[in-house]
Amino acid sequence: MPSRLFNRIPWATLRVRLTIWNTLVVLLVTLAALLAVRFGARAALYREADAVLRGEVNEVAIALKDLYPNTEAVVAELRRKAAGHEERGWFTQLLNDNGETIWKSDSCPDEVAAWPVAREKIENLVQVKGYRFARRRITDPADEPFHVRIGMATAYLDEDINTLARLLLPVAAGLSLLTPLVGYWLALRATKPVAEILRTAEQLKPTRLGDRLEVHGTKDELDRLSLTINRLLDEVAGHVERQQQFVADAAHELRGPLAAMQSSLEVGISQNRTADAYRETLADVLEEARHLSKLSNDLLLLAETGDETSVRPREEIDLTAIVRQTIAMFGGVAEERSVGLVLDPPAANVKLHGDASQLRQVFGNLLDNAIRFTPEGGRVTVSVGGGEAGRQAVVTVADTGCGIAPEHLDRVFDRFYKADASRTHSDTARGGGLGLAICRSIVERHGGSIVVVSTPSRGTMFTVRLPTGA
Amino acid sequence: MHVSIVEDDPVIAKAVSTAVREAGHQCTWVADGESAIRDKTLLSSDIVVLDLMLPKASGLDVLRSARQAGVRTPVIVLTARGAVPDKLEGFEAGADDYLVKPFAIDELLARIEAVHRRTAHKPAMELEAGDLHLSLATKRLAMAGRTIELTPTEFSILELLMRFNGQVVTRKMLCEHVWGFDWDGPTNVIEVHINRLRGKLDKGRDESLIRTIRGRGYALASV
Repeated sequence: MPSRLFNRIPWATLRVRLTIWNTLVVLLVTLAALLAVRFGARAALYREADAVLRGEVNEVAIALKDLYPNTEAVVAELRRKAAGHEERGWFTQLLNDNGETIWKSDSCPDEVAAWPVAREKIENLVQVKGYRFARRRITDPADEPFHVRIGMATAYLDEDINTLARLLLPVAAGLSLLTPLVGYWLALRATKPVAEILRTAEQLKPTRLGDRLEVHGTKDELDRLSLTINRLLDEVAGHVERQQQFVADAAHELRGPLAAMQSSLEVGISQNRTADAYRETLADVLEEARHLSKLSNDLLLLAETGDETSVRPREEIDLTAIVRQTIAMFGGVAEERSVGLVLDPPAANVKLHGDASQLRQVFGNLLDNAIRFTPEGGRVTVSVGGGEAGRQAVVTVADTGCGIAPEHLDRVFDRFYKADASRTHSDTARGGGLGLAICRSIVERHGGSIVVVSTPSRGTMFTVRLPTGA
Repeated sequence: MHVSIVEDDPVIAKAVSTAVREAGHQCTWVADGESAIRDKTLLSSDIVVLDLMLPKASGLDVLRSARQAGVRTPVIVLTARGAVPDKLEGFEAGADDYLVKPFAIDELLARIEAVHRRTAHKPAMELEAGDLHLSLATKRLAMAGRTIELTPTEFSILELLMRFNGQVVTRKMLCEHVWGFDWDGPTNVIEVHINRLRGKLDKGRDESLIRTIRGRGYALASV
């Protein structure tokens, strides 16, 4: 395969390959044109010659009728015709009905002279070796019919064609030389924007993600290529920015507990204290260490769930059972806070493929939030639905809490985003701001979605949709 | 009981050794996998706490070589990664239990007890602690001869506290025991049930039967 061959040649740039293909195509077309001209001209020349020969035979036939029985005049006429086109190899012959030659020109070749007469045919054309002649049987006015033959040597026709070919060959040779040059120039022109894109792309660095390729607005393929690359760069830049923000946020979050530990330990070690005081300090440090532990676990979970390529083995799990278990866990807490926690009776158990412990984390976070942000006497309603063949499973967690202000609503799933300012709560628990980000990350990794709708002072509803297909 | 800890981090090794000795057991520290294999640590211990990330020879190597030699000493594996495949690998190599770092020392002690008890003898069907008598068969609690009604959650919590009578039981252990999974979110889902248990058990007592150990968990007061 030529293309495979090209791939092995290191210098075969797109430009060179374009040129080679271009040249091959032009040469092929030229060759085809030359052949077409040669055979077309040959056919035309033969047709023309045939028409002339026929005309001459018919002319002689008429003359013969007029001159008969003066055969000498007829012979003179025939001699005149042969002599008139001697340089083109013309010949004439007069025969009786038995095929015996009455008269023939000197130029008449023996093969033609010996050729048998055809009594049944009035007029036709015959090709004998390198000769071509028109013949006619003349039955009137004589008692015995005559046969007249006027022909020529085809070598003269072939010579004409060869002359034409000799004229065309230099043109073809010129084309063969010119095509690669013109082809290369064209390829150069066509690939110049690509070379420009390449040059710019080579300048791109992870540290300079602000650079973009120039878009000329011509809307051609190259412009679209630039646009596509620019869009990819936008996404990469956004991704890198989010990662940097995440690392910065994470470091910031880690600093809190570390600072607390440091000051506790510094105070503890600064002078002799009672055993109880030391125990108190150690308990403080331990609490902060626990907090750090929880934070690092959350970050790990986010990093793990954020990576779409890390596919964990997924077993079939009973979503309804998971929701029931989570509700059972929070039942006591809800009761203690006088918040009703109810599960709308599900139609059937919903099964899907997923990670049970991760999904427990999702519903745990949603219930934990809902109960914490719902005032006494309020209600948290959970429903599990869908899951019928091919349909997605839907879990909703609705509370009658204070709601989330619209300006915070689309940011509650952001990592480290705390909507605490808009959600009044007496709980001083440090949520860390990762709970809902983890929820979204887990749900999306399961191929699902999580959305929130909220009416301030009326309540909030989270809806988790999960695909049930294998 | 003789507990060996194979762990390259001296701070963790020291903390575990101290805690194990204070719990009334002997403890030996082995600092790398090669020494553990050479000294046949598993053969000479009643229970082994084995870190997987070890210099020279990994924890899995130690475990496999001992199991291939037919040594059945119970092993609790410590891993830095809690992902399912890592845990599975540990179990396949012959671990009896695992703990993900960072872990609570109290939980490690409890697991040492539990693994030892599981491999040594059958679990008791009746638990006794002070004047409490818990029947696992009939799911009934008697305090000083009087029957006390408990919810299934309360029963489950008290069962674990009585199994580790006097020892600290962490929130995580209680969650996993009661509901089958842990909850480490902002809300302490155990506390409310502990408080209700106290309401039922502490009548007429000066100090609560269930002590809160700050930063660690809960423990049944030794009576």
